[in-house]
Amino acid sequence: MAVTGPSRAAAEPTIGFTFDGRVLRARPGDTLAAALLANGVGLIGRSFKLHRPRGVMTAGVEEPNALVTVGTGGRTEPNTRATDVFVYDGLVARSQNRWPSLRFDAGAILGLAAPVFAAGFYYKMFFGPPARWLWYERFIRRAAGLGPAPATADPEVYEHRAAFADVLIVGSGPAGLAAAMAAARSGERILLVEQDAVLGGTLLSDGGDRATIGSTRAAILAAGGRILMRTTASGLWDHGFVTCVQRLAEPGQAAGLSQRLWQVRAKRIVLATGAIERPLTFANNDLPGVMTARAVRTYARRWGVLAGQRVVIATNNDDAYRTADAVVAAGGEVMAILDSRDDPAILDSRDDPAILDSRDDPVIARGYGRFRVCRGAVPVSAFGAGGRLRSVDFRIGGTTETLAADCLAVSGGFTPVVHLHSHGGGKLDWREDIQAFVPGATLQNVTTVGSAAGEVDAVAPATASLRHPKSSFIDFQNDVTAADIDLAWAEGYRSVEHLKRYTTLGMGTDQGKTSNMAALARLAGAGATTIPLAGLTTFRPPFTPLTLAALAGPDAGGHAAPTRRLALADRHAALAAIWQPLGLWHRPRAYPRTGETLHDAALREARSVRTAAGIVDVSTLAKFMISGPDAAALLAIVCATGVKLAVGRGRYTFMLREDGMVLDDGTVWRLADDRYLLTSSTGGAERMTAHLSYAHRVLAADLQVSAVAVQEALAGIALAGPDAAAILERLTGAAAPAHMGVGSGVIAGVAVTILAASYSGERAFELYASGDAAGPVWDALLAAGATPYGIEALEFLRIAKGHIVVGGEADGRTTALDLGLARMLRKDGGFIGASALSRPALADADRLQLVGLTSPTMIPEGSMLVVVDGDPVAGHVTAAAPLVPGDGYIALALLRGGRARLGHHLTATSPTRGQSAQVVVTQPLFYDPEGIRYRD
Amino acid sequence: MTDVALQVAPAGDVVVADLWTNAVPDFGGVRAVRVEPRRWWLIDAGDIAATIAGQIADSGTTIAIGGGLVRATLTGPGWRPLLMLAAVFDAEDPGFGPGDCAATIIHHVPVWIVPVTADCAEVYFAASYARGLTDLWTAAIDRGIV
Repeated sequence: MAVTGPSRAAAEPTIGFTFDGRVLRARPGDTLAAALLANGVGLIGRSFKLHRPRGVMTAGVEEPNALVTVGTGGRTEPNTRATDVFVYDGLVARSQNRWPSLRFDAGAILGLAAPVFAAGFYYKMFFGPPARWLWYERFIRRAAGLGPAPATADPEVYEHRAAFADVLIVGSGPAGLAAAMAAARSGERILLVEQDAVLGGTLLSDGGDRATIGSTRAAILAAGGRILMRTTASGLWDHGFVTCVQRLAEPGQAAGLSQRLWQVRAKRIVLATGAIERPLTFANNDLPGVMTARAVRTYARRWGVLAGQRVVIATNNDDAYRTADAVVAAGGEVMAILDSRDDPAILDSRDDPAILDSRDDPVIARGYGRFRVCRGAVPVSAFGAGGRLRSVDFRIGGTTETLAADCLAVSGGFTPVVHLHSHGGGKLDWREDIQAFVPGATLQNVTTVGSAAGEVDAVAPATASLRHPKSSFIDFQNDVTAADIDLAWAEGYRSVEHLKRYTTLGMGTDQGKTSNMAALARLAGAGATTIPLAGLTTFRPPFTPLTLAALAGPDAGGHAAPTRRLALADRHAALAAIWQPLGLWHRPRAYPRTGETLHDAALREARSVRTAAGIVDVSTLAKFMISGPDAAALLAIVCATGVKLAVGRGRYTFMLREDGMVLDDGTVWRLADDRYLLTSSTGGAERMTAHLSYAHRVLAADLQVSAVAVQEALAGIALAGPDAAAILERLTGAAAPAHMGVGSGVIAGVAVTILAASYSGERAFELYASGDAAGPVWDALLAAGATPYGIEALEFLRIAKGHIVVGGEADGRTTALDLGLARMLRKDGGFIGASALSRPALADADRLQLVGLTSPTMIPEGSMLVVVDGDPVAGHVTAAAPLVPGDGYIALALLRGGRARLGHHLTATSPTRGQSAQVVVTQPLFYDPEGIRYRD
Repeated sequence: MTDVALQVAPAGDVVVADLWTNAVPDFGGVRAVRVEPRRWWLIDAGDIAATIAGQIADSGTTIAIGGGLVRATLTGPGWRPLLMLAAVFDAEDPGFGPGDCAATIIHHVPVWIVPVTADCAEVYFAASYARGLTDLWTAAIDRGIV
């Protein structure tokens, strides 16, 4: 589908690329849009809703129409603006939102039914019972979206990098370069980002002193600054923080490292982001061949591409006259300049040179002198066929005339790019002369310069009524017409925010960059008010679309977080462990033998602990060495239990938040007169570190105490079971410490600290060795006959003993009383959370309380507890397991008024999984209630 | 593109010296890094650590933590840009150099950056994170640091 007159001077293209399978050639430095125009391709895509033919409208990132899919396989990037892709050898581009082909698109039938698809179509059409929606949904989902998402993983690498600067300058047009030069002279640390592939901005299309590009670049580099090309400042956040996405490869291009997300912190920010030219509103203003005037000029001057041979220019400002010069210089013909300003008159000054002096501006004067200028004239309708523009109707005075044209260059004025200013909390001021908002007061050290600050040509706002509002597009990407806005207004959508949601105006990849002001003008006109009073939707990051991969960065493909590896990980792997992610850690869940399921293995491992001895890696437990003359005083603040211990003794303890809820639990051991070891849960390690720091640095800063996190400095192995003491004594050659006693020894040449604590309910010892030396200890214990067990078996064992887990039973809403721990609370108080415990609500008998459950069948974990189906939920199951040893199943649960419901029969039901069990409420202790087995 | 070489090994001999005041003690020539106002790390102190523990017994305490740490040694001028990857600290600040220590986050991992010379820095972090950070840096070095 060819535009009629693209031409290009001499040099042969040297790069091969394809569009819809057609092999084409481009010059290095061409954007895809420039290359397509140069190859005579005018029809590039189909519009979102109505599948109308669309071509290139702009030459920048604001492009609403020319969206293509670029790349293949995992590198596929859909909805890419052809104006923002630089052609590389082998680029593969495809049109989208069409079937079976771009030229013959079955979806175009929707265009014929455009009157049906008016604003609010979905809201009006798809009312009804939910079942009907399920039927609609199939068709809507098929029609939704534009380009297809890639189906395979992206093989490219994405990087995140920090940068700091005295001054960040966004944009390298004349204003940005001037700001950069000034900063360089003052010796500031400069970072200049430019979304284009070359510096210069409008210098590239409008002329000016291009020498400043090179001199400024040199000055920045000489000052130790940095220049980032193909880098878009996508968001300006608080405190001078700006996220910038740098394309190191073009969309779809194989490069290894594809994009880098720069996280920039700048003391000062200069926004030289330019302005976006607004289209004009008239019938069929979306046809291929209708372009913004500056875009026509840019294609001609920067890329040597003439968008059409016979060009009509329609404008409400002076800037478009420069396009006339560019068209003629490139070999095209300017059919007429339609200037909506002034009283109607046709000035064909080629016949009347006296008009040369009629304007002060030399550009305009030159236009009057060389072209047919129709004053007081506006385009009424564009006409095309076969994806190309054929003619333009315009109105002047009371008459309508027709011009043959294959390109219509339009200019409705310029909208300063205020997005980043707004992201940073800056206010906007209205400028009547340019009919646009400009940056106002700012909350940060942000300055806007150049056309972004409103240094653009004044405009004369449109006053003529539209003849064909139903085909006069305002938002091109979302097929929103002037009639849609009128309809929304008529149906009561007064707020611009409501208008946006109702019509989809300003959504999509362009976020209304070319349409917002026209829409606001239409809305204001409908309400007989002004644009500032009509309101403005909020600018939010990102400024232009960015890939999810850029956000994921080096975390792509994983958990978006690092994995923490156990010191003994290789040994677990050698035992074929099944790994279980727990927070950032990966821990062995079980060690299945040949033919065993996970459950089989966990049962076997749990039985080994009950009948012989097992070992489990507990290195991930949080551990803190509390030392100094005031160590006990700090512990008394942090721990809600008593902490008076003889040297060599330990005890169970738990900690509360300020609001009295249980924060964590663990054990505390007195290793020496002024040294204690405090353990707490794996998942709460960082939280406990902060809690200790708060207690030490805020509540009791005068204490002479040290609290050092030694989570990884000490690797831990728990040895549990009736044979545990014998194994330990055999390996150390010394008597095992009594329950809750501290010992020490050497195993396999490695010094270990021995803490006689039991989590399993059996006689047990936690053995701690230096984190980088624990391997031989594990090996020795295995060789001594201990069975390795994972956290699945550990769970079975702890549930039977009713031990709580932080995040399970201690879920942030439960108190010590709720969890049956109240008897351990220190009576004299003085610990964090003590003062909150007297609140009457915490003693409410109907609170969730920890109970046990038994059942002959498996109890679904996480299930709801109800008296009978349909009753209000009375609680939930926090953890469930088979009873080892024994028959049947057990669980821990939080149940309203649970302790008063012992013996009650309930249903544990999980409707989402289709599982349920009949349960009996019991005490949360199912094994060795007297504690005989773990005592020495 | 800037050169840097990476070596990762167990941190070995690292001892925390926590003091009850902000006073700057005399660690007798042992390499000491101030990681918090009242916390120092004694690096490669060997047997002298026990002597120091005795000397500061009335004003502080010592704890060995090296068993859980990894020490990454970055050699070459590229250590600064390398430490800007997935980071939040300005390692490129020319004012940050030998004698300083930065406790910060890289790629979600808590780290301590200790410049040794203009062309060398050590980074300490928990051993469990070693593989992830090493992979991140190795891949970046292979690609070329900017």
